[in-house]
Amino acid sequence: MCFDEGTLQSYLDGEIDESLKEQIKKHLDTCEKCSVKLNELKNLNSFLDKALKTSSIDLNEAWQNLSKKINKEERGVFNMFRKYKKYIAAAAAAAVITASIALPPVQKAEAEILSLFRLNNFKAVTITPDDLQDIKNKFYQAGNKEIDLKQYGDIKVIGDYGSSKEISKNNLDKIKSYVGYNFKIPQDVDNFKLRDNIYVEKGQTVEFKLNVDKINNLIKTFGGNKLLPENLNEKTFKIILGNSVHISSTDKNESDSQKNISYGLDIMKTPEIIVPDGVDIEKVRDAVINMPFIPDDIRNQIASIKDWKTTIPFPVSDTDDIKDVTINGSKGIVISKKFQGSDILEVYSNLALNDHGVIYLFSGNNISPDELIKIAESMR
Amino acid sequence: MFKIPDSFKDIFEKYYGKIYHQIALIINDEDKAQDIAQEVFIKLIKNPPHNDENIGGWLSKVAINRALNFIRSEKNLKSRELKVSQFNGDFVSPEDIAIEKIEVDKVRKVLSKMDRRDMLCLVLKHSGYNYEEISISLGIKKSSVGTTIVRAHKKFKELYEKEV
Repeated sequence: MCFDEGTLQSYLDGEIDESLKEQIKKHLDTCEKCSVKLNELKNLNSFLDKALKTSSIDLNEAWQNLSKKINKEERGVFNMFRKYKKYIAAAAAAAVITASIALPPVQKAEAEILSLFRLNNFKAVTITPDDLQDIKNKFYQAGNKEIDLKQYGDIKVIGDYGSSKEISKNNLDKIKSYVGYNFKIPQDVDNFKLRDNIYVEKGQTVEFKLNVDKINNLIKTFGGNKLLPENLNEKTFKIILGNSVHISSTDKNESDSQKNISYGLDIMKTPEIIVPDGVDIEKVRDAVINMPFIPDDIRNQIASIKDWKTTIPFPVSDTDDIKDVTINGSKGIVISKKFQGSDILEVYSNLALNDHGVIYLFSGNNISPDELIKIAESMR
Repeated sequence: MFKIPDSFKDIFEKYYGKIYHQIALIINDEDKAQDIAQEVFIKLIKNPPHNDENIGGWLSKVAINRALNFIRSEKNLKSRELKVSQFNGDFVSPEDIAIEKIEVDKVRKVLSKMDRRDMLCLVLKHSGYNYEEISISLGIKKSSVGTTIVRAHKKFKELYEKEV
């Protein structure tokens, strides 16, 4: 029996099961028709390979460029917040710690659910390199050099990641109905213009279940005695991150020069945390804050957050400047950082604002905090 | 403050070349292809796929979307006259560049005449993706990738020979 061209092509590309491979090999030895066909396919293949060549690239250089860009993007603290959203699965521990610290009760959303927390406020929590070293040392001393986060709980992200959609800014009503809530956008001030395309992205829900025994054992290993309540075991917490909107401005320089002066804005509804029925959230908070491997200065900062039930703790580094602001009556926080670029002093500012249940996260390239505040004030 | 995880670099090394190649073929602008390839990786960091997703398939899907979007918004046309990529200091004569450009334009023209899925299948295969990744990226069955490739090869050759 002869093989069809598709199968022969797969054979050529080494994309075929071992057993079938043997069969084809044997067959080719005896069947001239198939051998000729295979040869044709081979020729076609190399003809195409040649035709579709592109100039080669320097992978190292590309990596350098990418690292630079990522650094620029990532140094925004608020991107850490976005990361929070996206990276929660990877940063299981961080998520569990930060998220469970920031929990608050509003309504019964589902039968098995007692509490719904809306995170409305922001509070910077400074984490220094020493703190990180401190945590590392503590783990090292306790003989836990490597922690496999998977055994401490399950994290599941529900919702589609790759599905951002572009809608023109002239179609604001469409965007609003797509995301399902009303929001404001900044006006064109000081030569900053909104880019024509606005991106909308569907929301996600992060569910996590903790393995309480394992976590409590870990706490005990470190000599801690405030444990997580037993009944937390296998209960599902949900963090709901709604549909979001991403707007960006054009570069004030109107160029792609190194000194890019522009800002981006992410808009989303305040995230909500749903805590399962029967969980004593005060106890959870107590246990989390007192986890023995958390450095004291971080513990104190977290413990001092008064409205902890509605506050998102923002991790910032000790080189960031932090300022609370009020913009058109809404509370927010500005975090900025200066750093010496290759030839110029670069300034990065971020501003988070909660306006009637909608969070606005601005991140500015080479924009001073005051400029960013002005942009935020122009929102209508 | 942020450290890029090692595994990210592994992914970069494994896929950057493929992604670049794939985009360069679709948009016929090698400088811009570099930019878009970088955007794809920035997206990988910012909005990574689910753990269980096939990373190659995901990356190539994102790359296709970005490349097609770019083509759609080809108001960038004016900035795309004769763009010559950097040749690491090697001397290349203007004639060579012109000839190469005609050749590249021809390939691009042929690709644009093909059925989109066949074209993309061809581009992905010759960018070095495996069948599994191609099938995920294009949403076709893995078992029909081989057949699609053969069909696309033949179609390309036919159109290429017709093109002057």
